[in-house]
Amino acid sequence: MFLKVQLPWNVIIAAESLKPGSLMLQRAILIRLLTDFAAKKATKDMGYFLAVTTLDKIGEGKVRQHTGDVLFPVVFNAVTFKVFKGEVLEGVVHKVLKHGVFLRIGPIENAYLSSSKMPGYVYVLGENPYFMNQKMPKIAKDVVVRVVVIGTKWMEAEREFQALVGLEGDYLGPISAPDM
Amino acid sequence: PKQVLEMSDKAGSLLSSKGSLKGKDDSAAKAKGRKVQFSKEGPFESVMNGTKSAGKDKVANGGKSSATKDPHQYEQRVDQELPENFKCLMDCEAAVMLQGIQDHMVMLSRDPAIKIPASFDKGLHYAKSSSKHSNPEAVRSILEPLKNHGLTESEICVIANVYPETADEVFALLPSLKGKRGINSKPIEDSMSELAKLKQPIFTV
Repeated sequence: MFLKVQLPWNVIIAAESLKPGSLMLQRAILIRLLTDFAAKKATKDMGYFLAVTTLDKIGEGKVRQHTGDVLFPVVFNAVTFKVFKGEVLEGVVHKVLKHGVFLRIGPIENAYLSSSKMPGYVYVLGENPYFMNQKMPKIAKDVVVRVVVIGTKWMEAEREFQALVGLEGDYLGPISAPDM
Repeated sequence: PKQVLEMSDKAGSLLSSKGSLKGKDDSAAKAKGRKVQFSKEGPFESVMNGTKSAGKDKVANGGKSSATKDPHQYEQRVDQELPENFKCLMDCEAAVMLQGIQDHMVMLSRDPAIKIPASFDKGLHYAKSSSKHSNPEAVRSILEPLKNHGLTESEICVIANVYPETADEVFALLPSLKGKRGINSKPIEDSMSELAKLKQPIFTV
């Protein structure tokens, strides 16, 4: 789900950018913050960083002894995205394999729905393979599926999450999405 | 000890291989008594949900405990309270916020120094396609009172995002609700019928 977080970060401005006139300084701080924010991509605690919404406060700058940079403590609000175990979400199938499918849920590219968690579904081989069930719509590429999150994994190296999802439970399964 | 070692193996294999989930289900069932070991076993934190043992467990309490000791991912459950500076957004609310930023994008992109996070587009697209309500404030005001009936902020957001039609559906999708004391279906039923009134035609011209 989406989260709104309030964060205190330290933004470091190189001495060269410190021109007289507070407007240029504020701009430099903001640019630096946005750059750092975009570079971070995601964290384990907060999920994927999507956008900075407001800048609450810029504190007094402190000169760093050896480099001559100035460090500004900044408090800002941002929107992030993270999935939680037990959450019910809708993902779009983008890859169908023999033992399961991969869904995209927002910024998460690889949410895995194993065939063992698709009760009643069987794999149908073909040029465009899919999973079929007698009583429910089929699960194929580009189908929207309502799933429950069984587990999540934060991958430090790639700075991204993977999720494990399932269909075991009432009211879960492919959604006939009229407008997608 | 034997039990713990078994879990460790399974935890290791779970965490090192993508997509395998067998270990998780088994180990979670076995793990009930062994809280001390959980500081390493991220995914099994779920069995401690709602119970605390004095001083021993380091990973209880979901989002509030320090994740830094745990080198592997430990998961927050959707029915736990989030840390204080986090607030859940319903998909419809997020869609409004992100669209607002998108609207400024033309102006922002004129300045080459301004960087937009890579996930922004995916996040916006997801928020818009997942959002089922055109009036987030109305949804908020209908669901907010459920907090007085024991629901957490994140449970309310899940309900808003899923847009269930009946209280039955709510309990089916959020089984944690059944276990909570003081949850009865009447307020939830009322909220669902209020929500249903908001329902707009699915096909928009």
